Amino acid sequence: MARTKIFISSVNEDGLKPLRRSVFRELEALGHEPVMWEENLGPWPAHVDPVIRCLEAVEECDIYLLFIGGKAGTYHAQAKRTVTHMEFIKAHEQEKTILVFGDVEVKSAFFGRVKPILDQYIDGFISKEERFPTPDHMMEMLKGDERVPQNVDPYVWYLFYDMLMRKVYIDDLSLGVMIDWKVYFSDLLRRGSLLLPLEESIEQNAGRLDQFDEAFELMVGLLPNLRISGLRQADKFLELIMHHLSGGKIEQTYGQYMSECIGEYSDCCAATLYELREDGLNLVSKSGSAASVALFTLDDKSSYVVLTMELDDPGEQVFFKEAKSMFYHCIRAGNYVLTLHYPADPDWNYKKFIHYKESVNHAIMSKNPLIIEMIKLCLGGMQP
Amino acid sequence: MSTGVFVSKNGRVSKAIGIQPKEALLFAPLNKNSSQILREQRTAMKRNNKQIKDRFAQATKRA
Repeated sequence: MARTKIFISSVNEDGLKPLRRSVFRELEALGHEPVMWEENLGPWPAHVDPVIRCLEAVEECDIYLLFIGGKAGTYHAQAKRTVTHMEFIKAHEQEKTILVFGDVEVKSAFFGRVKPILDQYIDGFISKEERFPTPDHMMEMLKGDERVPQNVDPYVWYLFYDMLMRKVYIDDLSLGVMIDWKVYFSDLLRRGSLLLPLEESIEQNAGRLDQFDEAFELMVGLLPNLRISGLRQADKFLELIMHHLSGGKIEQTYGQYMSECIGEYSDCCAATLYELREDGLNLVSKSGSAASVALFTLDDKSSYVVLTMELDDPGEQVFFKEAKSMFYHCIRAGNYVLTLHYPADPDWNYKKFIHYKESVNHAIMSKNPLIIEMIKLCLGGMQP
Repeated sequence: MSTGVFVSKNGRVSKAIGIQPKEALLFAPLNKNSSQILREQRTAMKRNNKQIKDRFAQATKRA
């Protein structure tokens, strides 16, 4: 029967050596298959890259176990990460079960003193540079701050911060106090036991999802081959669309793992549909609280409907008007322009829009692109 | 259209520079349209789906 392969990772510092040894023995005695550099992994012949071999071993393991003390270990200048950190990143990227134990004093100093300093520094850096600071920036700042304990390598603080951003829990490690591995692995068994009986349901759902996706793919191919003669009840058409489009949060992301909520927008409250005819863009129908203009001439550049009609492909744009506290998602398909109205939070003004333009676009566009695509296919298939 | 924020004021479209009136209609060119976002989401969904199936296969395999 297959055994659980556990990769034991840590910096090879003196304080952690006895712990590593005892953990290896205990896990082995419990019937698991621990993997550790000094026991059964290295060293290798000179032509084998030890970093690559370690990362491969992480990839092959079932559980990644990490101990963090006050030393950072070997820093790989090209990767700008330590080898231990790279092992952790590999385990995270491979979605392994990760167990992290941090020295209780280092951990307490991190949360009590270092994290608030880092938070303040990162906030200031972001508002000045509009990007997330690099590890080098953070370490440089920490080195120069006398409030930061100097007996711990600055990289360790960055490692802790990276784990927090990835939402990885760091357990207490008190040297000299044994970790009750039986309890730990019993808890893992409990969690796995809850999920494993759901295999059939999860597999069924996964299969259905594939079917839905295949059906969508077919529809994308079929609809452009149909001639749709028109809208039977245009107001009903818009109302149905409107009620399926909900509001949401607008988030600004900084790098891969960090984001902050900078505002919200409400559910779609109105929709209008315009059709291009000889005299300009004519109102076909409206739904909800939209004010409607019967006709826009094509030289009327104050109208988002006209601006959208003139856009290059694929003819989609998000607009904002402070006076109305409204975001407008305009979509051109064939001879039509559909506008979806989303109320903005009252604190949105032109400055905030200019500052967070990409986040607004992304929040509205990525909320439900499947619905938008279907609408585009329907409207695009309509013949005059 | 280039990057930045644009404004439609008094029937004219220009780059949004300086103070903007409340009636101004602002917009910023999109990095991705909904079709591209949908493609990305579907790719991620298929990858996740496959990973779930693979993991269950691995978890229930008896050596």
